[in-house]
Amino acid sequence: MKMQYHPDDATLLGFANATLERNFAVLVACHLRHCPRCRQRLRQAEQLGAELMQRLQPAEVSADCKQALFDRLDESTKLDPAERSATVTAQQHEPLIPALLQHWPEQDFDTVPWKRIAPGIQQHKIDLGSSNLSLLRIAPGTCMPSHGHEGSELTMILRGSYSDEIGRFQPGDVADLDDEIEHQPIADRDEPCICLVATDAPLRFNSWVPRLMQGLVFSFD
Amino acid sequence: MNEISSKLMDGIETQQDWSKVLDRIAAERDRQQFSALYDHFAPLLKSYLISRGAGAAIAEELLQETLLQVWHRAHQFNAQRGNAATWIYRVARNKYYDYLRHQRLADRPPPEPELSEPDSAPKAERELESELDGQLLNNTLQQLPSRQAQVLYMSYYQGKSHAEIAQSMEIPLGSVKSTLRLAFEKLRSCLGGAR
Ligand SMILES: [Zn+2]
Repeated sequence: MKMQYHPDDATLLGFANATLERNFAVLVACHLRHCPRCRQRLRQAEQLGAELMQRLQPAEVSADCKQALFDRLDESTKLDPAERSATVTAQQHEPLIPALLQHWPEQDFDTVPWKRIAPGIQQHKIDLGSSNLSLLRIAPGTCMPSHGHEGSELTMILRGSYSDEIGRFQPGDVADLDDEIEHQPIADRDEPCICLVATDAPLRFNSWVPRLMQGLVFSFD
Repeated sequence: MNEISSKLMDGIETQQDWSKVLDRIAAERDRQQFSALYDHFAPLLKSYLISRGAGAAIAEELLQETLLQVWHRAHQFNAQRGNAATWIYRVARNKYYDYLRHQRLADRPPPEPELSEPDSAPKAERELESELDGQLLNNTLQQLPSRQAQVLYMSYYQGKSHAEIAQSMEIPLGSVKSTLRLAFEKLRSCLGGAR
């Protein structure tokens, strides 16, 4: 996969600093899986994070803290191997990327329970708890009204392509938009465009599609 | 002086090879080495955690969790894939994220280790990561324009999102991102051959 459009460096840096809400983090992770260029930048951002940490004024640490830690070294090493591995397992997280997106380049999106939200546009919301991530399926040739963004919006193409003022976006490409950008995407004609969209949580998302469709008379349920 | 340089220590610490220390901790369960590592990193980790918003007691608890994990997983550290300080920094960042999520204060996941340390990275790419010119980085940090230093400070040390930075500096989101981008570009040039 040869990507032409990457997340902004500021977005990668935000991911490295754990400042991206879950929906943005998931989308960026889906891109990074397949983008060595951005993985290198992420590592650089993390390396700089470690350098900056080492340049902080050291804080005063209480004397008890070290003793407490060394006491815990003893305790934990007394656990038998079975118990220890149980502890480790309990600490492991569920994967950042949800199952539906784990293998997105090969994933069959036809079986997704799509909901029609406007002519030529279907949506499937991915449940991430507090933040919003949606799949959009846009019929070939569908033209969206020009729109701006109140906050941040990240879009990644999974299938097909679309074009706007910025360029032509293909699978793996990320459009990293902020409040200064207006654009008018048009799904290319050959096949439906499926994309992953993350917007600022939680309120702005609900208005995203209506805002997108501003001036058109459709009802959204 | 800018927001970052006022926080910096004077001069440069003599660089100890923490990768070797981690290797000895892994191989020999060497408590003396671990003690040295604690003495260096505990005050820095506490400082980092406090700047991210942790109270002093929580910061000490989390730095213990961090270093306990370093002790138990030292064998997983691979010096070829990155440097020891970066590895420890990631553990601390992730512990703080876990704490915030557990307390339902925020849900801002850090990158998974596989994204940070891919096996498939070409060797040349990996080597770049360890080549950091510390003096050049110090100079670059000190010469950053105030606004760039401020957004870096808020992102790295305070863990603020772009939107939160925009709000607290009263500038548009797009300016936050372009300012961060510029600052990152300058700092990246301190990493050998990073372009
Ligand atoms: Zn990329």
